[in-house]
Amino acid sequence: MQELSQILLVLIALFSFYALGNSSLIGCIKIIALQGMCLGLLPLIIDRQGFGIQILLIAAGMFILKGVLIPRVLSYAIREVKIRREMEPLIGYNASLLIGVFLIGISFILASRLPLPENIRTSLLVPVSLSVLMMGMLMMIVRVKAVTQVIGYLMFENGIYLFGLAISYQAPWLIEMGVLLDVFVAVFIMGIVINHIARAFDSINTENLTNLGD
Amino acid sequence: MIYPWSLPGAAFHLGVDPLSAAFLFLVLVVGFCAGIYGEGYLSASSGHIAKAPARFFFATLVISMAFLVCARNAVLFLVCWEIMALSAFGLVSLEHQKEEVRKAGKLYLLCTHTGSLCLLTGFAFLWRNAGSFEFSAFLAAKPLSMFERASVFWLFLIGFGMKAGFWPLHIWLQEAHPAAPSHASAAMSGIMIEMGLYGLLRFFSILGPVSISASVFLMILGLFTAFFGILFASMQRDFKRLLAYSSIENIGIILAASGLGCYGISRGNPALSLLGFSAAILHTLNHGFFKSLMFLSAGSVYLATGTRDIESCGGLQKIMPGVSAFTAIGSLAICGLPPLNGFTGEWLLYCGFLQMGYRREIIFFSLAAAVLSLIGGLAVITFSKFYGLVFLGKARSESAQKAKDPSSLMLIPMGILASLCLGIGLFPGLATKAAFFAAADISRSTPLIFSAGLQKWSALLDAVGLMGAMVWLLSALLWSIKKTSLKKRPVAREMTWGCGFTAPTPRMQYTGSSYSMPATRIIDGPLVKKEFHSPNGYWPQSSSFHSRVPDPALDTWLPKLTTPLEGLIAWPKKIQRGKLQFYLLYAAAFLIVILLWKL
Repeated sequence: MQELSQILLVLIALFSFYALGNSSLIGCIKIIALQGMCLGLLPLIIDRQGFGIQILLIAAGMFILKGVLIPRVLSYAIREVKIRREMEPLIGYNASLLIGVFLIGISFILASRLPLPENIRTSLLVPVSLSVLMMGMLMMIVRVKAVTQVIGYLMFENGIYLFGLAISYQAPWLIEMGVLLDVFVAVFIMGIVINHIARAFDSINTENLTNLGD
Repeated sequence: MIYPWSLPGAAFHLGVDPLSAAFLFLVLVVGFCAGIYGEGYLSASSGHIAKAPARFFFATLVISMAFLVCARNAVLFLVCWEIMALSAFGLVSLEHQKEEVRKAGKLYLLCTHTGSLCLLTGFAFLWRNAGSFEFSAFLAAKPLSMFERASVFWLFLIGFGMKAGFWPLHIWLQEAHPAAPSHASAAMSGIMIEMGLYGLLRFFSILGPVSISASVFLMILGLFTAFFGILFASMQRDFKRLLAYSSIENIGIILAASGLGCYGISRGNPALSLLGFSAAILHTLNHGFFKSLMFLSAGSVYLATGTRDIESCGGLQKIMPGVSAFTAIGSLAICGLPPLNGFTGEWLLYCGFLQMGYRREIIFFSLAAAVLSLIGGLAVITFSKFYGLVFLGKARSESAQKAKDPSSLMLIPMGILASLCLGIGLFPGLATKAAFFAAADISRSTPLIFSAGLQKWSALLDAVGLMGAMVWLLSALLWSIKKTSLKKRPVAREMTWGCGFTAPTPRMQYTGSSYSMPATRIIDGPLVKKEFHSPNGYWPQSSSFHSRVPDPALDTWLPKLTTPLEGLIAWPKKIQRGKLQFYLLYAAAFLIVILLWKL
């Protein structure tokens, strides 16, 4: 199963990469759904000693929530506001892809230096989790549309989940479920907020929010 | 008493030694009197001041100070210090509807936080050396290095000096005291600013001897502060401002006395240092009593006349006999005149200055004594002006004619403070003893020197008190002689300063500026800003004359200092973009750099 989990991890990293270079919002949401599904599958594959009921539950929860429900909410949100593309990112798509490559490099360096417990499940888990985390952050930084910010946030959260998977064997599943619920509620609320921003400013550029301050 | 506290390094550690006891006594007595007076003041102010916040902040102010002087743990000390500072801010900005009050509050807040920052850094130095926040650990720790000692000394001098109001850190004092309601300014001036001195004394006892040059610097700074304070006090028209400047003067005197104490330690002369520190503590006690009394009287006058301008009061002695009697006592005490308590501390300081046996220093110390007497002289001018213009003569405005004594709720606390002033003046023995015991620890004197010093000086001061009693008896005698001899003869009543005019008006009286002019003429040239539009042309339209005394440190030098500072701040301000993306970028970049650096 080792190879399969490696392939899944590479897929997860590539999905993040794809989202960085994609201007279509629908495409991004689809990608994040795929990434969520992969994440859901991962705990099943990664464990060598088979799996218990808890892991099954977590996997099912992840799969449904991140792979189905959250993308639904998001696509509902953009259908309402009728925006299809991220038109004016702060940093262009090619440039952000380049930065993404750079970040993957950094995360491999960091992962090699990170003092981790001995028996990590697969060697790729930590670097991939770090790079997904950083790419999520990058997405939040370079994009201005509220929807892409939410997608960046989700990606960021996926990275954190992966990292947690790396260091905890018996994942306290109640906490995991709690986190999942939190993320879902957050995205739900953001979906609503996006609608309101769109209604108030006729666009969902977060730059408009700056004007709300002093 | 030690109770555990969940903050790191903190413990609720309280203790009372003679130094704490002296200040605790001061805090509780003045807090009690000012608090009771405050109730009367609030009800008499007919809703100008919000009552609930006034009571709340006053209570937290007094309580925090009571804990502050007993704190034996640096974290507890700092927490009390901040509560004290913030409640004073609440009191200063009680009447925040007024623009000037808001300005004063902001200035005070800035100053006190600058001071707290210095204190925090200073305590961090001590903590690094001792590994604990307990005062006892600071004492037991290995001596600090040269650099650390110097930094801690300067940090504490600035931090505590900001609160106490040493020149040029006094800038908030003369703005904040007039802005606060009177019972609050009494507590602030009578006790809060002395907490700065308490802190300084406490840290002299922890840090040990400072160098000779540093103690000489303290003395010079103290005398300069005192001179500056009283000079500006003599030129003020607003009487609460005048009192605030006079607080600066007294703080300066106390600082000079502490400097003398430090000098004694570093010279290896514990008797002298005992004398210096006890003079400081005695004067602190006395200042607490007479200054709060003066602020309470000022508050009564303000309530009765509705003005803080000396020039529009007058003639209040006849219509406000209670307040005027107490103010007379307070004014005499504040000038440092013999039969009252202000004299005792200053007298100890004079003795310390003039006791010097060293050849080389004798010039410096006799000069210092001369400056001290000059300060005393200016104080007499200032307070004779204050008392004379406010209480004597004829009323200069309509509101001053209709004034009357306040309720007994306000008079009784003033009476308590006045009787304390009188009592310490007549029987200085007890207060001197307290001051000597408090100073014993700081001055590191041996029991032998301590008991010898205590015996000598308390006996001398008792003699002074006896002489004071004789002065009172003599004046009573003279007064009764005058009364009986005038009984049979007709007495013509004329207006004060009537100058023999047949129909004098109140406007012909002496004014405050004219009264203090001879004294300040020598020095006022660059200090007084005059705006004079002389009448010119054949049909002069308008002409005006206006003079005011800006504070040089606040109005002239501070702006010069802040302009380059603003330029410095402008650069980091560019980082502040107000866009979410930028802040995320900063956080991410910081995290990555830290990770790469530390791993």
